[in-house]
Amino acid sequence: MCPLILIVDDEPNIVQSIEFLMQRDGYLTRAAHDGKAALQALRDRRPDLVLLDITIPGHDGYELCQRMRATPEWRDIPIIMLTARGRHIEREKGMALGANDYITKPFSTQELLRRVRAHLGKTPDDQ
Amino acid sequence: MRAPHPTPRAGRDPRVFGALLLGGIAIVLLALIAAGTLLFARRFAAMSPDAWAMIAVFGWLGALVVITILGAAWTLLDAQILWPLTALARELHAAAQLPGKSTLAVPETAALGPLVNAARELAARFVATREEMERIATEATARVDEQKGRLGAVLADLTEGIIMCNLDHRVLLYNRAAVELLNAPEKVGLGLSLFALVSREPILQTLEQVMAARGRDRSEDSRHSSAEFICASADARVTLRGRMSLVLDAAGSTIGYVTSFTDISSEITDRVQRESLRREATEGLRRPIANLRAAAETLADHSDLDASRAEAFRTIILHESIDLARRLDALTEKYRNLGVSEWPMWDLYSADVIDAVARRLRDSTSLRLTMIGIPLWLRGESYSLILLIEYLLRCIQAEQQVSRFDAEALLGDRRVYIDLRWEGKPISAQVLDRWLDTPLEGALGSATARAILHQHGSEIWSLAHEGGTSLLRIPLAAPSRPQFQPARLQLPARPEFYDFDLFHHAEGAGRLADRRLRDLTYVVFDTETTGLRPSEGDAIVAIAGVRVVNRRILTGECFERLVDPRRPIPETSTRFHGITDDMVQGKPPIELVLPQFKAFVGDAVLVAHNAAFDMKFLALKEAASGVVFDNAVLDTLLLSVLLHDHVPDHTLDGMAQRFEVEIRDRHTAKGDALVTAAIFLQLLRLLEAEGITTLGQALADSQSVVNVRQRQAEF
Repeated sequence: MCPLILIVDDEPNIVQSIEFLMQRDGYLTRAAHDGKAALQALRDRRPDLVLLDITIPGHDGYELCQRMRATPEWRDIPIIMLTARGRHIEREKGMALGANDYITKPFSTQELLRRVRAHLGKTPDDQ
Repeated sequence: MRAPHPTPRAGRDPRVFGALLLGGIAIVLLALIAAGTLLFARRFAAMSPDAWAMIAVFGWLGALVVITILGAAWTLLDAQILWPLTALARELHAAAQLPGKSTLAVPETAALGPLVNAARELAARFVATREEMERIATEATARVDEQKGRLGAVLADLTEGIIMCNLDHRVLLYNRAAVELLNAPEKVGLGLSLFALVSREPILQTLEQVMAARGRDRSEDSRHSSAEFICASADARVTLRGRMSLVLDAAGSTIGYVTSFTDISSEITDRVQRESLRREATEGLRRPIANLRAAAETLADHSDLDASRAEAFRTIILHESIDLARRLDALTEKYRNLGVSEWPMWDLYSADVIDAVARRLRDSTSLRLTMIGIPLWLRGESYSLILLIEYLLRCIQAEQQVSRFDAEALLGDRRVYIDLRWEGKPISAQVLDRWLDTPLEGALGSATARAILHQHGSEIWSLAHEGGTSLLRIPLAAPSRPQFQPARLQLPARPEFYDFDLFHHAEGAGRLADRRLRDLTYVVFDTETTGLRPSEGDAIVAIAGVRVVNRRILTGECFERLVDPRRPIPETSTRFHGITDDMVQGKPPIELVLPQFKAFVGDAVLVAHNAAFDMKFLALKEAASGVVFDNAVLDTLLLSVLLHDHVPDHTLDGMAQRFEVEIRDRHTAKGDALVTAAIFLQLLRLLEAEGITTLGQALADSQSVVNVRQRQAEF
């Protein structure tokens, strides 16, 4: 079965690009535009990786991070943080609250794919 | 110098005078009797043989009567007048000299009664007046000392460097911050030129400007007129902003000026960086965006482009967007390196901040905050941080009903963290985020906790900690000062860092030779060496000097260095001065130390005991060190010979004993320099008493001693 990637971001343009890139690489994707929708998506089906924009409305990117780490069945899902503001302190806070990696926007699409593959251990084509 | 008080000499003693007078009368009378007796004897001896015997008996009787009467007269005169007069004279002299003496021990006699009473009255008045004068003087001194102490305390606390100068640009006063700012402890000193510290032109020009302003308008307001200027430290390493105001005397005429300095080097660098950043963020991004837009619009508007053209535009879009992202990254990185200095921030000690919070809480709530761990320096604005921490603790208390907290400062790579810990669960990011939007009571401009965090470039978060405790982490910027300073430069205590008497110094065009000895600045110095033969390769292992200004030894202004002589120190010398090869290992060589010493000395007069010896060592290193000590030199040994040629012992120890100078650390360069300085002060007094008041006179007379000694050596 193909790995599922949950994309949590409120910018439709970037979500569109990421979904396209991931799907072309053989992953399944699901998008959520805020924390509430993300929780629902998590409950619907456990994703294999979460791409999380930490600055989604309501500042609940951090909250989602923390919540996932506090929930046993979601604890081991890798979280790659996407941050628009390149402030070091935000990355540090995200990592402290449970993110596994971070990518600063704007990012290279190649770089994003490389990180996703690295966290999932292998490419979907190998399966 | 006190006027010399003549002691009553034997010749002026009334008793001697009386004795001489009565003795004279006795001799005259006895001579008359003897003559009369002889005359009678010659006339009557022929008449009767018995007559001679009779006349002789009468003569002897007469002599006896005269002696008896005069003896009685002496006894009476002495007891009633002469002895009391002598005693009175001595007692009056003692009363004039001894501070505590107020009664006159003089025998009561009828003859001198009124005089003695009048003298007593006068002495009592005199003593009372003197005591009153002394009391007033002591009080005045105490008042001045107190004011000086207060001034010193204020100056020491200022972060701005303060330097006060007279119109010859000689330093009258400086504070610790000035020494640190200018980073040249050996060049900052009373009586030294300001221009050894900062660039000359801005000072002169600003002084002219301020004085001209004062000249135009001599109203009360213009007393406080001042001007700002920018200058550099003399070594051009530090850019300084200065503010200069005039120092006026009671009559309103200018006697000097005071300047405050702040280091604006980093401020200027910061401003330049900000400006370049602004340019890059606007103009630098405009070009790639224009390219991007042109290519995208072309593609969108012209669907009929052939495949190779369309590919070319896609390549442009790709390259330009990569370039744009790269530029943005570079900008972000540069901006981050600039730090968060838009807001006023200072280096704070975490202990001070936490302690302030703890005190505020203790007074008004049941919250208890305990400081744990090792305090660290951090950068922030202390008042808003205190409010923020207090607010967060109150929020946690309300949320989890805990009232005991620990606070610890932690060291990060580029940040310092303040962790607040409690027994309980971590705070969820959402809850924490909600807290941040409440305006804080008492905060400047009713700032919210979030605004304060933004000002500090900070984000806070909460995590579970060990053993059922949780923490709230507040990351803050690292301090601009080094966090730990094990070998922090300890500036010497400088108790005598001001000397207003220097105001009255006038440099003038005259050579030093015409200057009064008491007005000159001296550096009394001493060297320790590997041996006694400079021309055979013996070298300096230690050099120390102390400044003497206005006849005061400025112990706080010492120069002291160990020197690597680059040759073994013989055991015999080590036994003498206690300096071993190990002690000088890694110390600077003489070529480095002498320029520093020269800077310390400036144009002061050099003073040393047996100065020729020390000067020889300095002279031999002129070529190597590039400094020439062409200062005037006084030698305490020569001056001692000049003043006390009847005394055989002119060694430092001998003179110290003679002048009752306490010896400490003898045979260390600094100890010897201090002893020599104390002796030199005594010599200065004696020189003045002998009428040798100018440097020229002292030098000429010293030279004559040298000449005499040389002639003696020739025989």
